[in-house]
Order: sequence, then C-alpha cells, then structure tokens
Amino acid sequence: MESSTTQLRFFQHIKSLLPPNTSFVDAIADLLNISNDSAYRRIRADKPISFEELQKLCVHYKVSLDQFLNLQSDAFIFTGKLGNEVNFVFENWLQEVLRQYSIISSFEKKHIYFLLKDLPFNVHFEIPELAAFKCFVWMRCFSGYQVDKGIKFSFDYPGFEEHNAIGQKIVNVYNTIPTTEIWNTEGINTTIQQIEYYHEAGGLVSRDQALILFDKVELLVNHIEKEAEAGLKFKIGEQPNQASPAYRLFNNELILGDNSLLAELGDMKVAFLNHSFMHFVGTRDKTFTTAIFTNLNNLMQKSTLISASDERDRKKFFNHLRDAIHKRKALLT
Amino acid sequence: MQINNAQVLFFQQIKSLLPPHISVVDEIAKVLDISTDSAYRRIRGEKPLSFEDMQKLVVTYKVSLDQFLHLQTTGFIFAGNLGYTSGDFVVEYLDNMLQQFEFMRGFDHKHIYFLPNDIPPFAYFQVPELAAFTFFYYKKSLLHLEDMKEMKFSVKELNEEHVKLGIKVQASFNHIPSTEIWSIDTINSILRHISFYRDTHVFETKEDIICVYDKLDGLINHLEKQAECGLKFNHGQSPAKDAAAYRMYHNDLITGDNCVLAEIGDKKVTYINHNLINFMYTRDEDFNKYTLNTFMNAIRKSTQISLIGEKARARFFDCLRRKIQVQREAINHY
Repeated sequence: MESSTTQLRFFQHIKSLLPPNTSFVDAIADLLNISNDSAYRRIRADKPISFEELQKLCVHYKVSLDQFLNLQSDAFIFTGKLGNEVNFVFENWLQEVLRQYSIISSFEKKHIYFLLKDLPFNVHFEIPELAAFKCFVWMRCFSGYQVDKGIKFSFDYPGFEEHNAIGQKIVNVYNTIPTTEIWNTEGINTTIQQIEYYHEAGGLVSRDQALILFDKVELLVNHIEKEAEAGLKFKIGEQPNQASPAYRLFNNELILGDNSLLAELGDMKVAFLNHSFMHFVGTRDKTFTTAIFTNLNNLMQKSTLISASDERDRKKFFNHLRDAIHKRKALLT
Repeated sequence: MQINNAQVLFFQQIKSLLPPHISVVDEIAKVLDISTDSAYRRIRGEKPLSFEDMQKLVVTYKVSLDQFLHLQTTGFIFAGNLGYTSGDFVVEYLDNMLQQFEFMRGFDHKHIYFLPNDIPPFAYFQVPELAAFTFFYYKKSLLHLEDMKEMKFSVKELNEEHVKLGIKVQASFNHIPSTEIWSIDTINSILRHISFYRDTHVFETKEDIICVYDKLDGLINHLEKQAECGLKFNHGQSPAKDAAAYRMYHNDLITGDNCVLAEIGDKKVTYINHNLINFMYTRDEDFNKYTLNTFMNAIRKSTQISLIGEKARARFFDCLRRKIQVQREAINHY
C-alpha cells in the first residue's frame, strides 16, 4: 500500500506539538476513540484518515490545515481580526494595533516601510484633539460599530481618555521603529475632507471645532516636517536624541499609495494590506513579501527623498500641504 | 460501506465554485488524474480522499479547509498573481480579467461592488486612447519594464489586438450589474499621471496630451449618462433592453482602496488590490461577509447619484470636468 507522505508529515507535525513525556499513539487513539493498532496505521499513513478524524485532530491540537496544505502552493495565507460585526469593540482594534507595533519593536533589527495614500493613521495620536477626531471618524467607519448617528463630536467624548492612553502607547512604540514612508501631497486630503464632511453633515463638528482641527492638522504637518528635516523620529514637542530611530520620507508625485505596510523583523518580513477602511491583514509568505519589497524599492528609486536632505523640495512639499489646509480653513472663516 | 459525509459536503462545496456548465466529475478526475469512476467513488464519499488528493483540490480551488471544518483560526486564503510572465503583459492582464467576468456571467445572480481609488481600469477599455495610456503607465511606472525607459506616449500607436481585447473585456463587464462608490478624488490618479508625464516630457506631442484630456472628458460624460439611466452600456451606444444595472454613489468621507466584492450565485469573492497593480482574492465566507457589511456601511454614508439625485449628480460630474479643465489649461505652458 502506498503511504501518504503528507499524512505522515501531518502526524509528525502533531507529534511536535506534544510534551515529550506523552505517548503519541495513546493520545491519538484516545482522541479518535480507536485502538492503538488503528492509531498506528493512521500515523504510519497505511490507512487514510477521514474528514471527521481530521477535524477532531485539528480542533484538538489547534492545527491550521490551510497553513499546512498551502505552504507549497500559489495561495497566500493572510491573518487578521475582523471583529464582531454585532458588537464591535473599538478599544480591541486599538489594542491590536499596539500589539502589532510592539511585536515589530521587540526585534533588534526592525524597519517599517509605509506606502501611503493618507497620513499614517497612528501619527494622529501625537495630538489629542486630532486623536479624538480620528477615533470619532474611525468608530463610525467600522461596519459593526453601534453608534447613535446623531451624537455630536466632542474633544473629550466618553471613552476618549482610554482611547488616548492606548494612542499614546502606540505613538511611543511606533517612535522606536526606524521607518520609511512614501507619500505625496494628496496624503492630507482624507483628513481635511473628513473634517469638512462632519462639519457639513448636520454640524456634527461645529465651526469652532473644525477651525481647531485644521490648526492641529497644520501643527502635525509642521512636526512631520521637523522629523523629515532631522531624518529622525521623535514625539511632538520633544527633541531628537541619539537613540531616535531613522525617519526617511519620500515624495512620489506620480502614484498614490494604498496604505500597505511592510515590516522587517529580524531576518523575516511581514506584509500588511489595508482593507475595509481600517483593517489590516498580514502575511509572512516569503514570495509575497519579496514582491512587495521589490516594488517598494522600485518606487523609492523613482521618488524624491525629502528627509535629511533636499531642503528645497522638502519646503515645497510641506508648504503645499499647509496651503491645502489654509485654503479649506478659509472657506470656514 | 461507510459513507464519509464530510467528504460529500466537501465535494459539494467544490461543485458550488464551478460554473454551472462544468461537469464536477470530469473536473475532479482531471485534477486528481484518476478515472471518472474513481472520481465518483470519492465524490459519493465511498472512498476516502488521501491527504495528497485533498491538497491538490484545495490548492486548485483555493478552498479553505479551516473554514470547511470550522476550525477556529484567523487565517484567510488569498490567491492571485504576483507578477506577469515575459509575454505580452497587456494580453495576459486583459485575458485574466475577461476570464473572471465571463465566469461571473455564467451565473444568474451576479453583482460587483467597487470602491475605486482611481477610475476603474475597465472603464478605460471602451476608449482605446485611454486604455493605451493606462497600459503605458502600468508598464512604464508600475512594472518598470526595461524597454519602456526611454519610451514616449503617442495616441497614434494603438495596438489593434489590445484595443479589440479591451473592448471585449468592457462588453463582458457591462453584462454584470455593479455598484460603484466614487469620490471627487477618484479622478486624481489619472490626472496626476497625465501631469507627471507632461512635466517630464513623456508625451510625444502636445496634441497627444490634448487628445487624452478630450477622451477623459468623453469618458466622464459617458459615465454620467450611465448614472442617469442607472444602466450599463457601451460608449457611443444606447442602453440595451437587457442592460445590467449601474448604481453609483458619491462619498468624500472615505477614500477608496480599489476593493472589489463580487456576488456570484450564492457565493462571494473579495478582491484586494496590492502592489498598486495586482489583485488577490479570497472566498473566505467571514471575510466576504465583513466586506459586504463594509460596503453597506459606506453606502449609508454616501449620496446615490445614479437614477435619482439629479442635482447631486450634476454637481459631482461638473466637479470632475472642472478638474480636467484646470489641468488642461496648464498645457499652454508645454
């Protein structure tokens, strides 16, 4: 009888998950409710296991068959949390962002590459008023989030303190990771349009609040300009120091990014793709991350580096962002 | 003889992924390289599938076994191309798209939801000059093809094969009802590409730039007509009696991400754009359900500008035309 090498590998994989002092055959026989002889025949792949047995084994030993069977295929396994569509918990989403950045930060060799169409979402936490507004917007964008649509925006809405506390942690962790960002002057459009939208949408954001928000966006832009000038990441209101990680900013006038992110963790790479507005799915698939990395390198070669050097282009770039804010602000005054 | 019920259900799932006219037995026999009799025995659950057979099937049909067996994981299987072979990129790209649309057309119920970040590429295919410009941009600036380095763009150099194939793709797409959520920034990408190539002297002549702007204007007018009728039809024609529905929404709150959700029969497929040019897809039920909810949430925050909302529609399309006009005026300095 021809043995299934994949079935053999599957049982070897399960064996590797057991504590060394456990009898593998006994464990399989107990779980599948079969004799030890029958268990042996399955472990040796003399007898194929049924779907029902496979299900029992995978559930019990928490084995992902997709990961196990697709490793050699052209499919990619992505992981990510979608949240509960009925009772979405925004704090859990924030905690997940913090967790992912913390994992990256824990590596000695680390780097984040961000191909952006908007300002990096986490930088809004640098300024509490912007953090409050973005949380207000994001919560409404998650499909499962239950919210009273008529509730007006407030800088200190119930729950803001908790959101801001997690946001501050995100900023602190993000600022420990050397980063390369590729964006262009359109990157500011989304935030500006969101302020306008909620101001016009039944005045959920008042005129005075909108004016404050435009000022805060400008403050954030000024801070990012300082980071770009220094070529280093640091918190707003602080100065860079010797431990500050590198910050590279590229302006690509031709393409608008897609908010995808590639993280280097030691010798490994993880690609995160943005979907459903604020969710991310990630993969460690080597072929996929290599393709993303190659594309990023190509884009960087075609872009203008405006951090640490090229003062003229940097000034032009950030003045363009400030002009965009001033124009929209003028419409309110 | 013991019947393996889960195995029977597994084959039923595979069957649901095939176009209605395909014989599941022939398909399975071909994939597993066995006789149709042997395929029958496996489909009926009389003979257990080996791990190798299972692997061949999940890889071929991109079926999630975790989902099928209700295993608690946070993984989603995506499939798609990472690159293109050394042949004609445009033919490969269009063929691939045509296959997907033709597959969807085989089903009674089909619908495409699209949240574009830029004008949907298939909209360009009905205007050969715009299609040529888009493919020029893909090859030169996204795929960075070596032979495109010094290449200049001219509307005179249209490839007949690409034009025909593009129109075929567009015609196929026009048979599928769709819902698109646009913002006034959806047009920015192509305008940015035109102005970048204008500033870097990539256009062969000034007339080429004018032609691209003219054609873009024409396309916007056509899309407005489609929105007005709430129906899809080919550029320069009138809607047919059996024309597919076209629903268009305006939303400036959420920027598009080129995400596509296709309803095919009672199944759903989500396509995610990556590396700016490629798409990968998943049939994961939870993921697709979530994507549909996201679309519905976006629609709730949007203004319908197809069929109804004449004033909002006119304002929206005027805004797009104004953007083109502002850029067109800069040609005088070329």
